[in-house]
Amino acid sequence: MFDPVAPRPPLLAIGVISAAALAYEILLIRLFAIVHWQHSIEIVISLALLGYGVSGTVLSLLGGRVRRHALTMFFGNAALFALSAPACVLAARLLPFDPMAVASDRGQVLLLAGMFVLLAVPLFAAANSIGSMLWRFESQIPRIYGADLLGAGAGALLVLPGLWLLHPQSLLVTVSLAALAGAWLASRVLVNRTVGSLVLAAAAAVLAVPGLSVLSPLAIGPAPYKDLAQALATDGAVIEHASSGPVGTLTVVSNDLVPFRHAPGLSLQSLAVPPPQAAVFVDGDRVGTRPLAHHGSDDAGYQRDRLSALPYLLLDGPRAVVVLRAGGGDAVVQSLALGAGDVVAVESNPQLASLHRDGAGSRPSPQVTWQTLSERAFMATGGRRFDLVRLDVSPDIVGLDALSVDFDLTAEAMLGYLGRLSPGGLLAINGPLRYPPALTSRLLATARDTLWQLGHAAPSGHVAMLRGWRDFLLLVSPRPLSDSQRVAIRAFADRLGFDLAWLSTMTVEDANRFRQLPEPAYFRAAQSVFAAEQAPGEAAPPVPASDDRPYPYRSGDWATAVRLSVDLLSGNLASAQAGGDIGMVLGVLGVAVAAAAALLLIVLPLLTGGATRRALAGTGLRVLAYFAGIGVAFLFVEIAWIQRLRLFIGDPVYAATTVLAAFLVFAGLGSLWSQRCRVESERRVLWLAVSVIGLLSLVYLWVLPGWLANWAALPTAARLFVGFALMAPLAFAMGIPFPLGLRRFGRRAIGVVPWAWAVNGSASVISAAAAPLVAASGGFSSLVWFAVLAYVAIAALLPAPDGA
Amino acid sequence: VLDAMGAEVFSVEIIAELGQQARKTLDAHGFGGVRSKIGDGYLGWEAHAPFDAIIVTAAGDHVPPPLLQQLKPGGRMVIPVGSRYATQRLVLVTRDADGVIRTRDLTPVTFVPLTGRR
Repeated sequence: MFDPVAPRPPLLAIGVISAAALAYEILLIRLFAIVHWQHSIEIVISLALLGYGVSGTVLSLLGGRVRRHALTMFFGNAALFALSAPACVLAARLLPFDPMAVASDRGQVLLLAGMFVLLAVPLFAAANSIGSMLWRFESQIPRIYGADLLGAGAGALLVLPGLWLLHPQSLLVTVSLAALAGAWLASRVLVNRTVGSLVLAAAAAVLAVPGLSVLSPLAIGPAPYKDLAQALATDGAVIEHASSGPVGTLTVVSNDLVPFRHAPGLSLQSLAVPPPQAAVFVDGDRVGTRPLAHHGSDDAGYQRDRLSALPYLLLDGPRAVVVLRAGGGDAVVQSLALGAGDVVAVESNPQLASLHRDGAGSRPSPQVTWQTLSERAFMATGGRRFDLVRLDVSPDIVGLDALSVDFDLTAEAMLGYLGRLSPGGLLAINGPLRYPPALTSRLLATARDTLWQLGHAAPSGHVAMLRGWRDFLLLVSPRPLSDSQRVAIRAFADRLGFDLAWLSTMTVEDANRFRQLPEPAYFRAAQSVFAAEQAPGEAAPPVPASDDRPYPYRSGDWATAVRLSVDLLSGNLASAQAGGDIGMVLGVLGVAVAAAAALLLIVLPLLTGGATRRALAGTGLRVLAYFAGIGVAFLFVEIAWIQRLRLFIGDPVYAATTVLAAFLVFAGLGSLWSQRCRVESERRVLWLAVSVIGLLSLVYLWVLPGWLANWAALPTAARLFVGFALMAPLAFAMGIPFPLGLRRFGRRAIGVVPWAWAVNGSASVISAAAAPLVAASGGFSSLVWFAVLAYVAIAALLPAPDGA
Repeated sequence: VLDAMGAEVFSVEIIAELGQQARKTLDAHGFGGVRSKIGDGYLGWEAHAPFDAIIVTAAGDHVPPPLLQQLKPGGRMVIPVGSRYATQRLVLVTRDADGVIRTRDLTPVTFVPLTGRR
């Protein structure tokens, strides 16, 4: 059927399939957020690398058969990618994986592993498709490689506007059709028209299957434990608004039968009943509410009885208020109800901002100005001062977000907030309580360190913290709280039944009066934070989150998470349930799953091959160290900059897309360039590349934060371009060590090449999963430092030229 | 259990199907004295208030003020705090003779949440 004397490789088709593969990878980040949870960039990168790594192993084991049947493999795997992309996502969605059940059900680990492998299948197929062309057209590897990388870069860049136009489910089907389009394009170049017709027929079949049409895609909704799923499962729920964009899916739900009534921090002494509201969800998580147009009610009653009302009463109706993360709507409504004169609402999600700005369901207020910017960008630019800076946070009650990045709760962020206060102004941070009190302790420590940085010797007098039945309020003042303010805070707490968690004049008897805990844990934790004032040299309680380590929600460390994971896997569920963030445990289990998958699917099959075993003799450890080191170092740098640039770019999907595109394109160009090196200059070129990597990495660590802060208010497209351009030279240099090593080691024994691919792939899979755990403990800079040292070691491991 | 202990029991259920099924079961087993209605539990049952004790099986971000107002001085309420799909803490809410409401954490609990349409 196929013409064995094919004239040339189907470069355009290869580019299209690569674009589809990268788009699928970016889509997985969005789909993970919709179905499960937000913190999935590293997991997606890890499973993508698993797919590519397994492909390398399979192609190596097949050997010469790949060359003989390359065209069959190309079309077959393109079709497999097209069909498996929606099918595997749907199958993974049907797995009853529940991250919150991890601590009580060992079977969840198997479900996590199953999900991981299923989602890697389409990328395995895409890699087989492209790999078969590399084998078939050996003399044109650089051109094929170039088409692959450029296509992947294009896919990353096209998926962003795609997310504006289509829902992620529809875009997933579009990705499938793109893969089939690639196969059809190849059929025009390689084979007779019969195959082209077959491919078109397959495309028509994909379009026709109910649920797989772009216009009515398969339903990939949130998992049952997510807020939206629970809301929609209740009788009477009506979806008032649904839309989708790169930043998230937005849903507004009302229910006249079982109304939503949102009043976090409402006093138990309150007689006021919150009015019925509509609930607002982003990616299935409830972010707030909005008033119902047909319910007119006086909001001021219950709004005054909430914990978050305190700063408004202390400031006696603040004239200028800025509400950060305002998209939930509730804080803006409360601000107006409590007499704020002028409210600036900052919301980085443009859909949320539009929802409130357009006033759907209620009249927009002329007192409110909506700013669609990231919170940090807004605070870093402009000079306007505010009487109140308010930030409402929503940490996950069970710690699912332990490895979530949040730049709005770092020391640098708090410095910015305090810098925008008018004289006498207040910073107010509201959120749900968590036990043990690691989050509130960390926020107090952040406030303490920030006030020290501003030159205040006794930060304890500038801070107040109260707790209610379920929520906390942290107040930070650039000036010491006055006597009248402290009296007013106590009176507020007494009247409404809130407990003091910190006030510089309080005693332990004040700490546990209304919501009585077995011990005054929050007060003790606060005492521990401020004890450092008297003994600065003593070890401080939780270290504040910083822009280098923006993990404010974790309460344990990775060592505890490892112990709990071991207990879980060995059946000691009581211990696993006793404590520790579920998010950290999931992180450790993710690494275990990645390592097991890499070992079983990439490494072990290769060791069955006699040629590989012979080639490894005498070079095994050096090859292992060299290529594993590259795998770890490359991923650590890539992930560090995805997360670090997220602060500048303002959104995780945008940041991941930009950095992935830059690394694919420019690392590929670096690899292509390295092929021009003569044998005798390979070592020199490698050391040059490592020097560039080290120099740029260190310069970026030290200098980039300041640069980026100055450019924070640039338009989105400009920030994407800046991020892309900054990564270009670094990625170019990082693309050199791998092909240089392949050539040098490969000259000694050609059988080493598949082993090198496998080791590198496995190390990449594992390091992508491990990076968040390392960063949560040591910061992004630890990832970069480790990578720089690894590259230096790698350069030293390059063997002498064969025969030297 | 409460009825067998001699308490006068009032039950509010939002899901009509579940409420009707519960009614049939209670009647069939001789617990016809338990009074039940289909309605929004957030609003309690003002007609029979105040109550000595209130049991709440699920709570949102605040304790419903109508329920607190329907609790007698000296009365007690138990309510879970936390995510419905994970371990929660059972909290005892009391109203003292002066009407001041206090809470006390009792024990960790896990309620298996209802799935499917409700």
